[in-house]
Amino acid sequence: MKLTEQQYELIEAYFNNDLSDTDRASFEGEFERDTDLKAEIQTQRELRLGLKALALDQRLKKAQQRWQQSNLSNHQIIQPQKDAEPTGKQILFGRQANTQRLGGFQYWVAAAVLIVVSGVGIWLYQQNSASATLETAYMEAYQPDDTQFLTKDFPTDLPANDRTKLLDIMQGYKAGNYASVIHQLETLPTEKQTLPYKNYFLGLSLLANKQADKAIPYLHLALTNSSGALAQKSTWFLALAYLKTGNKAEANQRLQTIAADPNQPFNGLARQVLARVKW
Amino acid sequence: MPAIRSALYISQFALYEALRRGDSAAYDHLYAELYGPFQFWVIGNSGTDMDAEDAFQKGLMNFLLNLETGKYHYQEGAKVTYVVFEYCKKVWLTELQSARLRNRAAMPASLELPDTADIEQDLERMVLVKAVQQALEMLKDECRNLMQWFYIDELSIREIAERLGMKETSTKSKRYDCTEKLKGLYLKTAKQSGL
Repeated sequence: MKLTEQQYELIEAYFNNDLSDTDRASFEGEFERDTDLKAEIQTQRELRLGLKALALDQRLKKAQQRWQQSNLSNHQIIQPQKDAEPTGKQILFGRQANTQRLGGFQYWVAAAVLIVVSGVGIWLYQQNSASATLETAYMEAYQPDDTQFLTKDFPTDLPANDRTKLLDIMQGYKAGNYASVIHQLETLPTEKQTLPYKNYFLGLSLLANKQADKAIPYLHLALTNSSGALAQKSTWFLALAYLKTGNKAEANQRLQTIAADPNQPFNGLARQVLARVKW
Repeated sequence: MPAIRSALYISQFALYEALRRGDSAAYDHLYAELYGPFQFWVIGNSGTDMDAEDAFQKGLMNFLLNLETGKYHYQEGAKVTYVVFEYCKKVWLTELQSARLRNRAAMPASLELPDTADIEQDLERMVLVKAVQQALEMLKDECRNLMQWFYIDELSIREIAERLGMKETSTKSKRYDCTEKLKGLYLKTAKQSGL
């Protein structure tokens, strides 16, 4: 079946959960009645699954590279074999491997580390089973915003010069140089289109820099002047900032809002935090 | 290169959510936590370093695809790292079983056989993925790049438009054209693969 561009965009919106409940139900009704359209949806689903798998494979390879390089250059617990050469052996997506082996002494060192880590893990798990303080709940839920996705929140029609500056600043965020990032953002010229992003990024960096109280006003501003993914993230990090500062009422209110919104990417985490804390 | 700052996922649910969002820190965490023990387990079960690496990547892929398609859901109290380890183990046990079948040798009694129904589904899914990959490779450069950028590198239409020096609306239309071409190639490849 040859799709029209309009049908294609509709299918794309359907797969991305961008349709309203009414439109979704109407579209599902349509393809239940139309066998050609139903077969087309299945083909499009397969295509997207394949492409998603390729995207995951790419991320896994990058993670593997980071892990290997990190181990080789820093810990040296796992050493490459002297005769290790990349071979032609392929797994599904074709990659070259760097074989590694644990030595006898190194194995026992690694095993000892594992035992200690497991012990800490069990202790943490036991701590986890009781209701958490706000600080603990914050620690459990907080993760920095992944820089891979930060560029997607860049304002529309962003001038190339501003984009370059923001990308530079983002490198600092990625490296964990939060104080420098905060300084750069504070001195970045303010323009209407970059303002919500700048405020969000400042709030995020202050939160990461353990200055939750200072992050709150910026996250408020970002939330007020943005929409879509940026607003959703701002709400989440604002809730976390309130958790961190011990403001139970404000944290609870925001977490409830996130938990009630099925389209919020942090919906599940918000419910988890709500269940963990004795409000 | 600095050491990976493996995030401390005290809550397994936080790890699950981070994996669902595709956070690179969560991937690093799985490597840091699981690869060493898994490698040790494979070597202890008739495998090599290379086998461990293959099975680990395939197991992670199966798990992440099940996460993506909703086939795997977090259950209260579950240890995500344990679940992932089991996925990887299953891959190696299946490969070991296939090798033993080829050589007409029995599996060691100490090893539990994996559930074949699940594995058949995963294998069929991998044939599908391979067909999409082949179709993608057959596309001309411009379309292949566009599809790669949008669906694999996950760039926005705006970013792709900038790279191509086109307007966003034209880039959207181009994406539609390229998806239709990819579909045609995929259907041919899938037919040849018996899908």
